[in-house]
Order: sequence, then structure tokens, then C-alpha cells
Amino acid sequence: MSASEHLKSRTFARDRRMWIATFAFGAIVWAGTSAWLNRHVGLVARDPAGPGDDGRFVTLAYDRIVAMPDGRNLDRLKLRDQLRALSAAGWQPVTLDELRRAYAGTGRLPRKPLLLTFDEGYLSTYEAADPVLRELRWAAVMFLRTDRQEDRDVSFLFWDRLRRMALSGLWEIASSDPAEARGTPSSMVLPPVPPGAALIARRLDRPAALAWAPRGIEPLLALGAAADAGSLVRKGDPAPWLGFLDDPVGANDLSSSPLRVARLRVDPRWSTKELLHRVDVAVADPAAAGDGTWVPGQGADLDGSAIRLSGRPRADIWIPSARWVDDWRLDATVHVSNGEFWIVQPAGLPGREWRFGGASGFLYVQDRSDGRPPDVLAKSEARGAPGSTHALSIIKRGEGVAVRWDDRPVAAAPVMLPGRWRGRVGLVAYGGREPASLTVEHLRFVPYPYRVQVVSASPDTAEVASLTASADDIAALSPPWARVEGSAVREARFDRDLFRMLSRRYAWDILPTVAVSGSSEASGPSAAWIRDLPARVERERWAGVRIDLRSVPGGAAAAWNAAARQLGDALRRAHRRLVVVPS
Amino acid sequence: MAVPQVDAGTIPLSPPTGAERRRSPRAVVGIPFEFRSTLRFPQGERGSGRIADVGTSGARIRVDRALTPGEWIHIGWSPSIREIDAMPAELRPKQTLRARVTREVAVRADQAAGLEYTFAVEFPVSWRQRVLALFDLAVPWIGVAMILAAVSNVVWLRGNNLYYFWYHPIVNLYGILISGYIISRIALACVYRPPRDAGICPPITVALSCKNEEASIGRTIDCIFATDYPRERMQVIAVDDGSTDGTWAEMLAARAQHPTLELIRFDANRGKRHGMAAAARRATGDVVVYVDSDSFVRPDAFRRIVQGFADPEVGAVCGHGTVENAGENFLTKMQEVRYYVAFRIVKAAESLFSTVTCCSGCLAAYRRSTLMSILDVWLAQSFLGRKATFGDDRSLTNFMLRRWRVIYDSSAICSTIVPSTMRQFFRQQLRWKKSWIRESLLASLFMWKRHPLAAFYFYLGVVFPLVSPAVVFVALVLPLLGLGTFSYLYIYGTTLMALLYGLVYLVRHKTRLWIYGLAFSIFYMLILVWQTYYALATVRRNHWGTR
Repeated sequence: MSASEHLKSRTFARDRRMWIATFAFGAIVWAGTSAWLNRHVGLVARDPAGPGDDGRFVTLAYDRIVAMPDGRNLDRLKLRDQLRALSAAGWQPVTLDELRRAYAGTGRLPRKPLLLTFDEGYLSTYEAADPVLRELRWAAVMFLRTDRQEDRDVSFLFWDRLRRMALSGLWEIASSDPAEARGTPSSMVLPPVPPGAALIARRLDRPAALAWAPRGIEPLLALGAAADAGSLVRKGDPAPWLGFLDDPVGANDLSSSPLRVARLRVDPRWSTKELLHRVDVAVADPAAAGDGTWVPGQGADLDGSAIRLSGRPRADIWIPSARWVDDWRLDATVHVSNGEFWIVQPAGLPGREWRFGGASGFLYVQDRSDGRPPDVLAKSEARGAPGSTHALSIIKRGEGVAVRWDDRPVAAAPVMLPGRWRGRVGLVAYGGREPASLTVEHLRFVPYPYRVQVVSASPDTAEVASLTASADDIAALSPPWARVEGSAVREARFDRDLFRMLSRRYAWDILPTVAVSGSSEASGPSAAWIRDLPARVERERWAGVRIDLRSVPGGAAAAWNAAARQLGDALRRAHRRLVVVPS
Repeated sequence: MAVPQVDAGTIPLSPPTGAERRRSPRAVVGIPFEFRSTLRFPQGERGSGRIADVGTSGARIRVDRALTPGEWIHIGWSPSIREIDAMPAELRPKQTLRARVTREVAVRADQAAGLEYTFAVEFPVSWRQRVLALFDLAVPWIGVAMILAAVSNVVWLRGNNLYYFWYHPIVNLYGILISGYIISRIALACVYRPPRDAGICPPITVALSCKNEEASIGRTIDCIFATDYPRERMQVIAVDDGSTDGTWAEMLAARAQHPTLELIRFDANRGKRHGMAAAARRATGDVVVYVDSDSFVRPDAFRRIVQGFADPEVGAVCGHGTVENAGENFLTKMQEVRYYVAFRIVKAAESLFSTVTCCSGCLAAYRRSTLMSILDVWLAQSFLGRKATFGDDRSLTNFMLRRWRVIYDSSAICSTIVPSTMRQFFRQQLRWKKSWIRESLLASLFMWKRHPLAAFYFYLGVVFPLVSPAVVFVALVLPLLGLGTFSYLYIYGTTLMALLYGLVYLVRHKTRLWIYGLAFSIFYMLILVWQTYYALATVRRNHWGTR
């Protein structure tokens, strides 16, 4: 062997074999680990919604989840218990994508849908919750503050795990970043994607979930939009993304704004039974018998028939089922020991509510918006010494509310609310710097019939007098307006100025009557006229319309009933009413 | 092996103090015994010997293998009635004894007499010695427990690196790799075994090349001739590389005592490499063993080191080096632990894959046929246009590594004198670092062809020293300047790693020197680490440094 050959390096057979073995082993380990970490888990099989299901769903918001109980946060086993109990009670997981499609009308939710969300993107939450979700094959949304990921904070999830979570098919990753820039209501244009979504999409190399849940503020307020959420979405378009806000109830339906999806924040101290109870009552209709279920907020204590609210600065309690009725009656005996008390009903608008209550001295009906002084709709002197007991009765029907305090009306006539309010009703005690203290007994919340009074086209004085005598009970006036017969439509005149005046004075809705007759369904001009009816109602600023099908013969009733359902859906989406008098 | 006959009358004890003599009158006996050393953990080496003389507090023993001062041995004997009568009354009923080796005595005289190793031992007669004896038993277990705790802690820390990997991938990768590098080396070193005794005894040539080593060259040559390798199969060549002191005279004096010693003298200094080459050219043995002029081989070192050549693919075998002057000062104590780590952990781990990257000059053997094939190229080696004048051992190893297996034999032991002043030490370290840079670059061209783990270790071993100054800068220096956060975790991790090395030393040696391993790590982190970049910047400068 020459010297130059001695300088050539060589390899040994054993080393060559080891290299091959190393590469093979490495490839197997890499492929196996990658496949295992990124394994896809399909959603659990779900029952489709039945014809009676109306798209009500509950959204739960969880904060930090930990592996072992620490006395402060929910732990993994408790989370598993809760999800199992929800599953056993028939609740089924839905995804953000399914929700968006349902809002857009292109998909349906399963029966008893429930959306799980987790906030902040804690690493411990993922570690504790992910095995549970994989075991139960439930979907969930993780809302991130992306600065935590960008700052590489080890308490929070990093992009590698988030990518893995997204690949699992169970997790959707969305943002709870603060708004990037505040617009003004007039110039407000809804961004096509929520803040943080672009970054998430870039980091995960896949589309981000189109949802946004800014902490501590409503999405639209965070964007600077105090206007009606619906106005930011063009009619007929699906919302570009879903906005989430915290709510003591967390119940929603598809008629509510997709930009204001309410989330019930789960308190780690709640038992599984309590959570289940809250979720169940969130979507339950109010009982006609009046034993509506109350959900305590902060500082509430239910003691038999008495409710004691005590706390600083406030304490509250809510009736979730009020969310599902437009017209209701509340009766109670109120004993205010200290501070203010309010009956509150938030609107479908960001930061806005109407309320009745006050402190010793005066009682108010107010229209209140965040950051603005309340508008006083009615004011009355409160009689009785501080600490005395009072009888309270509130009737809300249509757009009006009639309040009686110690059996005396707070206002001369029902007060007209500046909007169509539907939502949970709450009882709030507010003490300011002092602890509030309020006791409520004999509380009764029942649906109230929406009484439509058929009136003449131009009521005379006597007729108006008879109407005002029962102003509290009457919800709407229905003058004759149009007659549809086959393809023909004939509109009649009615005294619109008078009805507008009566509506404002007595908070009555105006629902002109459309009388239908003839043996055929709407066709030609009449069909077009009916299709245009929601827009017409909107233009005329009526509360809705009354359809009288009594003159429709049995053979055409089915077709007219179907048409009425379609019309009802359209009006409901525009927060208008349709009252049908069946054939 | 036959137990040597006692000739106590001609062998002087190392002088005991007067108090020792009064306390323990000596009885001359010749009782044979078997012993087990507690130095090696968990199974001590066994051997046999004879008690030359004995008193109530100690004895002088002759044994068939080397012992280390400070180690404890279990002695088991079965004396005859005549031997019992000769023993002190306190020892007569005992069948076994524990004894602590205090010193090696009269090496040259014993060897000249053709005897084995002679040591003075003391018995644990006082309560303090008994406590020490118990502690000696417990120390390795304590060390093992501490190692397990430290490893667990490291694993936990590295688990965090893995768990949070993508948060800071480079930092975490560095943490995982460097910990894996160190711990796996320790683990591999645990499974390392020296080459088995194949019973071969090839002709060898022992070569040493030196310049201005008059203080140690005589003893070095004496030690070479005191080995148990058959004289007729051992050629010894000493090269004087243009010394200007009394080295040549010492060599001549040594030849007067050892007539077979062959001498070569250069008129002017040509460099160690040329001396080594000159000896190789004159060599007649199948194996050329290089010994540094300030290193002292154990009697069985050559017999052991040639066993590795039983494998025809082995081109070089590296012996084990210890520090001769370990007790001299703080610096030499630190180097004692470092040498142990460098040999018994690093080289042992490399040896499992036959890829020892540096056969240290203190004791290394090469197959002559392979050595001669690359000798001229090695001699003419240049780097970046400059002739390579140092790092000869690493360079020669590199040439061997290209085509041959290079292994380490921990049983072939020599001790060497290490720098005892900072100036000498820094210069030596700088020289080593420069040669490391040069040879690492060259070896990186072919090391990937070797065993994957060996390649992994090699390339990491190249990267880490280059990266570590930057890591120290970012973790410790920048925060002091107000930039970034001071990394206590880095200090903790580094200390933990150093502790591991120290504990391994403790388990094997059971001396207090282990703590100097920790000190060396801090010394390295704060001071020595910066030398790497300086060496990189001055890699073309050929100054030797310590001469």
C-alpha cells in the first residue's frame, strides 16, 4: 500500500451497518412520533337536530385548566366529569365552522349544541383538557392572546402545539387579541378577519378560526362600533366571523347577532350538577306556572322563596329563560336594605340595557348605554321609608313596559322602550362604596300574552278610550290594511298618524292586518307583494304584521300556512313580529 | 503470578517516625495473603502478596499489582502456627484485616531486585481510622447516589428543554445536546473495558524525545527499564532534541545503568516531531511506544498496552495518564480530575467505537508498519501555510484514524508532570487548543465515515468548544452589561455537569480531589473558555509555549 493510499480515509463494515441502522431507526422514530403527535381525532357522532329544535345553543368559556387540583382552577378530572355529564344530558359539541354555517343558513346544528371555548391559551389548559377532549372526541376553541406566543412565554402554548392541536381536528384556534385600531361608529367597517387571525393563520400555516373573543369587552365595542351589530353585516351575507362576549347565561340562538355570541364563563367552584343546571336552564323556556329558574350571578343567595342579594359593589341574579320570550310579567316583593336595586334587561346591542329601579327617593325607567349617562324614560317618587317592603309588578309586552310599584303605576302610561328588547332579565343590587343589600320574595316570572287588539282603520274617541282603559294589557293594535285574494292585492287606508301617536303614547305595537281570502295561494303580484312585506314593514317602522287566514278555505290553508312560516322567519330575522290568525 | 519471596533485610522501609516505632514494634514475617482493593467500585480488584513486616498499627506489604496511596484493601490470610507466633498478639485472632495504603516504598530497589510492588499500609486501630474505614466503604455509594440525583436532575432539566423545545429551539437544542453528550459519555465510559489480555508480547520500541528535561529524564528512563516487559523484546530509544541543559548527560548516565538504551542527539532543536520520527526510523519493534520525557510508566504499562494490537485493525493504542504532581497546588489538583475525565471518560467512550481522537503523548503505542507508511507525510504536515510544530500526538492519531482503529487502554498507566504555574498552564492549553482546532478541521473531513455515535460525538465535540464562549457571553456577560437576563440556569446546569464529572472521580478514587473538578469547571467557564477564540485567531503561530 502506497503512502497516498494510507492517507485515504476508510470506513469499517460495522460502522456502515450502524449508519444504515441509525438512519432506519431515526426515520421510523421520526415518522412514528410525527404521526402520533399529529394524529387526527374525529368528532364524536352526533344526533341531528329534530324539527322542533330551534337552533338554541350554549357556549361555555373556561379559563385555566390544570392537571391536578390546586384550589384555584378547574382540574382535568373535574373537566372530564363536566363534559361527561353534559354528554349524558344530551349536549353535543359543535365547531365554530358549523356555527358559522348555521348562522349563514347553509348548515344545521345538531340537537342540543354546545360550543366549548378555552381562554388565554395556557399550556396547562392544553395539557389537562386535550386528553379529555380526545377521550370524549369533543371539539373546542382555544382563544389566544398571540403576544404570549410571540413572546415565547412558557406558561402559554407555543405555535408547535397549536399546530398539533389544529391538526387533531378537535381544536380550533382563534384570537382574543385586543383590537388593532379603534374606528368610529360612522366609519366602522367590519374587518374581514378578526384581530390576530392573520397572525395565527401565518404561524399555523392554515386558516385561522374566524372568531374573536376580546377579554373584558364586547367585540363590537372593542372595534369602536356602538351601532347595531347587524348593520355591520350586509343583509343576507353571513357574518365574516363570530364575536364572543362574556355573559352570565351563555345562551344563544341563530336569530341573535353572530358578532355577539354569549359565553357562560365556568366558575371552577361550580359543581358538575350546578353547571349542568345552568346550561339546561339557559335554553329552557319560562314556565307558564311562574316558577322560572333563577341563576345566581355574584353575591346571590337563594333561600327558599327568598332571594338575598348582598355584595360590594354589586350583586345580581338572572332569569335566563327571559331570553326566549318577548313579552313577560314579573311580580315580586322587594325589600331594599341598602343601596340601589334594578331590574335589568340587556338589549341585543353592545353595552345597552333598559332598567327599572333606583334608590330611596326616586324610581326610574332608564335606557342605559355603557359610557353614557342614562336616558330617563320615566321617573316616579318612591314612597315609603328606606328599608320598607314594596310590591313590584312589571309587564313587558311589545315595545312597552308597564311598571307598578306598591300597586301604583310608575308612569301614567306604559313606557315605550327605544328598541326591541329581548334577553335575560336580571335583578341587580348596587351599593357603590357600601355593600348592597336586597331581599326579594314571592318572585314570579311568567310569559305574558301578546294581545293584539283589532281596531278600526280610524278609531273614534270612544274606541280610543276603551283601548286606553286597558293600556297595560294591550300589546299591539291591528288596523285593517290589505286584502289578498288570489293574485290580487288591495291595500286600504288607515289613520297612520293617529296610530303612530297612540303607539308612542301607550307603547303599543302597530301590526296592520292583512286579510287573506280566496281558494288559491298567492301568485303573481300578490306573491311578490308578500315577499316584499318584511321590507315594507321595516320602511313603515311597524312592529310587524297580522295575517288573517280565517277566510282561507281548508284546501289552501296548508300553502298559506307555509307562506306564513316563511314570512315569519323573515320578519323574525328583522326583529319584527308576525301574528297569524289561522284559518 | 508467583508471590515474591521476602527479603526484608535488604529492603529498607520508608523511614517511620520515632513515635510510630515506639507505638508499633515491627515483626518480620512472610505471611501470604489475598486482598481485595476497595478503590474500584463496585467490584475491587483482587490480588495476592506477602506481609513483609507487621506491627500492631501497620505493615509493609508486597503485592502483585499496583495500589494507590489512600486506598483501602481487605486482607485475608491463613497464617501457619509459626507465622502466628511471629505476629503481634492483637492481630493473631483476626482472619481478615482492613488496611489503608499510605505510601509506595523503595520502588527502584524493589524493581532492581526483581520484586513486585511494595507498599506501607496502616490498620484502623484508632477510632478515627475506623470511622475513616467505614466512610471509605460508604463514599462510593454516597457518590453513586449523588450521581443518580444529579443525572435525574439533568434529565428533568433536559426534559424541560424537550418539552418547551420550540419556544427557543437553538437554546434548547444546545442544552439537550450538551447534556446528552456529557451524560452519555459517562454512561459509555461505565461500560468501557480495557482490551482483554490476549497474551501477546510483540517486540516493541519505546521512544522518547525531549528537550531540556534534565530533571525528569533519568527517572523516566528508569521507569521504562523497570517495566516487566521482556528486555530482549524491548528496544528503548531516547532522542535529545538539541537540549541546552544537562539532559544529554542524564541520558548518558542512564545508558551507563541501562546499556541497551539507544541514544540519538540532534545538534540543534528540530522539534519533537522530528525526534519521534528519528526514533521510529531506527525502531525495530513491531510496536512503537512513545513516552513523554516527563512521564513515568507503571511496570505493567507496556505489557498492557500491546494487548490492543491483537486486533489487526488497531493502528494505535492510547495509555492512561495520571497526574504525577497532583498534590502540588490548586492548579495541579484541578488538572488531576481533568486528566481523569479526559482519559477515563472521554477517551474510554471514544474507544468503544475505536475512534480515540488523541493518543496523548505521555503514553501511546503505534503499529510500526502503519506509522512508517505515513511518517513522511506527518513530518511534513503544514497548516495554513505554516509547518505544524506542535500537537504531534493529536496529529499522529488523526493520520491513524483515517484507516485504522484507535483505542484506549485504561490499564496501561503512566503518570505525568503537569504545569504547576498559571503561565505554563495557559501556554500549554493554548497550544493544545490550536492543535485541536487544526486537527479537528482535518478530522471532520472523514470522521463521518466512522460509527454514527462516534461521528456524533466528534462533531459535537468540535462545535461545543467553539460555541460555548458565545453562550457564556450571552448567558453571563451581556446581562452584566444590562442586556438580557442573567442565566442562573446556565450556571446551575454547568455546575451540575461539572459535579457529575467530579462525582465519577470520587466514586473511582475516593479522594477529596473530586471537588477540584467542580472548581475546574468554574475556572473553565470564567477564564479558560475565552482562550478558544484567541487560539482560533492565532492558530498559525507556532510557538511551543512551555519549553
